[in-house]
Amino acid sequence: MPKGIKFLSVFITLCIILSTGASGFAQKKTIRMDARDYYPRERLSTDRWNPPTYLWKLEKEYERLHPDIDIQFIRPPEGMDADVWLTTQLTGGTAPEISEQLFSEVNRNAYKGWYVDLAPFLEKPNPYVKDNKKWKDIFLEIAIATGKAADGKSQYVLPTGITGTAIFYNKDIFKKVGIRPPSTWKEFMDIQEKIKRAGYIPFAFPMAGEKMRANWSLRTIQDMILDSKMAEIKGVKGKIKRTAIEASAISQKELVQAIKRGVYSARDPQWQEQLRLFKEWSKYWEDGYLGVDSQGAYMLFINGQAAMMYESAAQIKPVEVDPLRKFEYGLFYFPRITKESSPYATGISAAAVGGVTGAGSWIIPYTTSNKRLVDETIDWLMFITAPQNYIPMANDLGAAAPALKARKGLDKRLEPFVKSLERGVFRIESFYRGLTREYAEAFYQILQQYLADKLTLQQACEQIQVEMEKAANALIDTHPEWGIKK
Amino acid sequence: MGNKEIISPGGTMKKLFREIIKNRNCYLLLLPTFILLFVFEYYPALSAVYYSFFEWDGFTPPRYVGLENFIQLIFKDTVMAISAKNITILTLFRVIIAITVPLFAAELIFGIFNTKMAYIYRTLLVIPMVVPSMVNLLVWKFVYNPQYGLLNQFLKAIGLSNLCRAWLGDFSTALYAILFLGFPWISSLWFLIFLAGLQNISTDIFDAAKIDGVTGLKRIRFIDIPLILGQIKLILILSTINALQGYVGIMVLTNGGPGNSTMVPGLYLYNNAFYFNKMGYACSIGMILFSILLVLTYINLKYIRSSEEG
Repeated sequence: MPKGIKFLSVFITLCIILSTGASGFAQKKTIRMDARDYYPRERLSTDRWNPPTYLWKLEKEYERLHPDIDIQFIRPPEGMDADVWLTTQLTGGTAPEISEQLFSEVNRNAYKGWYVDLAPFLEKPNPYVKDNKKWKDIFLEIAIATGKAADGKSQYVLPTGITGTAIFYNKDIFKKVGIRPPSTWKEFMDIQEKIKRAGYIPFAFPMAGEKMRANWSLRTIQDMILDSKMAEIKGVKGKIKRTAIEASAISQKELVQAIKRGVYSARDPQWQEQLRLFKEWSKYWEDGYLGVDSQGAYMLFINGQAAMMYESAAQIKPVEVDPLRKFEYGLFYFPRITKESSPYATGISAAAVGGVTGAGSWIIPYTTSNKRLVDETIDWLMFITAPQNYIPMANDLGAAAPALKARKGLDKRLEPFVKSLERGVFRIESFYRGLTREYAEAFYQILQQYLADKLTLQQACEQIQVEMEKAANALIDTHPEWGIKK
Repeated sequence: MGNKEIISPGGTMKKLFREIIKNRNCYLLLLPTFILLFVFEYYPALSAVYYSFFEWDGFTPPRYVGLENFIQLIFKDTVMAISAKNITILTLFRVIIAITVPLFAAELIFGIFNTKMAYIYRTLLVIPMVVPSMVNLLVWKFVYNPQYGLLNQFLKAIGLSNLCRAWLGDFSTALYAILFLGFPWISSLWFLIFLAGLQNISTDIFDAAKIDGVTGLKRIRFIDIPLILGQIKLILILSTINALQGYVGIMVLTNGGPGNSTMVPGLYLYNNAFYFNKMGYACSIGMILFSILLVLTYINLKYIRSSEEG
């Protein structure tokens, strides 16, 4: 027998023996979890605070209870846009069994059939919660409502993390300058002028990289400036009240209808007022803010160079424990715009920016269903969302409060952010998630040009209007069921 | 020689087939490479040609739109127009830099008679090759940082604080800051290719040139450059491809901003494909880039001839 054939037969025999032997062991089912903010990892020498680790504890406990399950944690590659990463995974059919995505993105993609409907599972009892009859009963109602799909029935995402935003301020600088946290826009501008004269940067504002701070600010300003117009935009009579459910007052469909009717228009001077106020504010930001990202803005604040920054609950833990901070800090909410500052102001307080949109907006992709792992994945999700597990896990992360009815043991530092939602959140999304991603990108580029004096207010608004109409038409194409004519 | 006979025009298909059977083990060993090449290189490229005629989000069934993507891209898309202008500036600059600076460095090292010193300098110029490009980019991000950056700190130190600015956040400087990336622009690979080319020139030629009084810059112009034209051509093609397709540095440093002042087609393609889910449109951008590269490469191959090609 030739040497090669002899070697090949020995190799094949070995493979058969090994595979037969392996089949004798019970094969574990693997649940890969894109835990995102909760991703557990060891502290690195470059870390200035402890990273989350609590999921490791839950993983061990769960695997002890279910020896046939292997939980694995993954996360998007460092520096890559998490949504872009997840989109490619979903498109390629390689998404993890459980992942995280904001409800707005989920609603954008739901028509593609990417997600498992969680509604039927929420009606079942959670075995890890004593006396629980329906899993959904452990969550705050706003959590379930935020995650509802446009049809009002399906639930493609389970948002479980409450977040809010606030302006963080340096108490020492405020004391030196002799000022107090403002309550109106006029006072806000005045104190910034004083801080500037005292030689500090009044506000650290990032305008490079991600667009969140600009989006939060414009959402809030827009909500106050368009307050008198909300009913007209929605196409109803009476008042449109704020709720704690993000962008729920005026749906995407209603916004598109308003754009088509011309009542939500960048050509409207009332609409344009938000950009004027935003630019007025920008003169108090750091030099070169168009080149400063959120990390750069944070460093200006934490090093005591800037007196304020606009941040979410996710920054509470870093600011609290960062060894670079040598000052006392405080929080105040976004100031109210009054007639002193704008003829369109109605005096309504600033809406909260936040909602059940923080860490832990869980989705189960269709690929989990293809692998017949939905029941196992749901069970793992039930396990981690049980209050005795979820509250310590959220405290360990320190970025978002769990949207659970049970509050015992919750980190007190997260309370102001939860409380901010009592004012109700903004009614219209400004640009980031309201229409299309392409619109968000174009809006931001135009905004940057306007801030840099490359465009006048009129030119900027004209360009935004073109992009807005383009986005509205694209959404009409995507949603023929809306029955809106182009 | 044997190979030449096998594929010579006079050889019959039968003969070729017989040779393949005879050397079947060699061909079988090549097969996995070709399969992988086809699956990961040719198939995606060919499918991009196909999908450039469709409106497709990458998941739902594509809708045929004919040339609409190309018409939109070439005649209506203002972002693409800005990207085209930016990439033209970047490519011209980078190609000129890719040819001149590493050649200059190679000539300097080639001119060192002390072999030990030449070796040390060569090694020093090649060491940066092992530094990951991401690290380089992050260093440059730090250099340009408006608050703590090396550049602004240096300007302040020499009393030119009026020149300080957010280099990457200023519409008037962002693109030039991108151009300046990687200063002093000695690409280790290009440098090694040039040096190898120079070392390959026969010493007899240099001796003869020396007798005829052709030294210094004259030697570089009349002896070195004509004899390393093959290397220049290769670097011209590769650096053009790199420059036209490159976007990672811009994505890390400015993400195309502020506004669209540093947007380039590669990044715009990426945004369309993975951020806006407009795969068909992204494919059409890819097709246009491919066509431009094909034309430039053809011109390069046709009109620039090395000494070996006559």
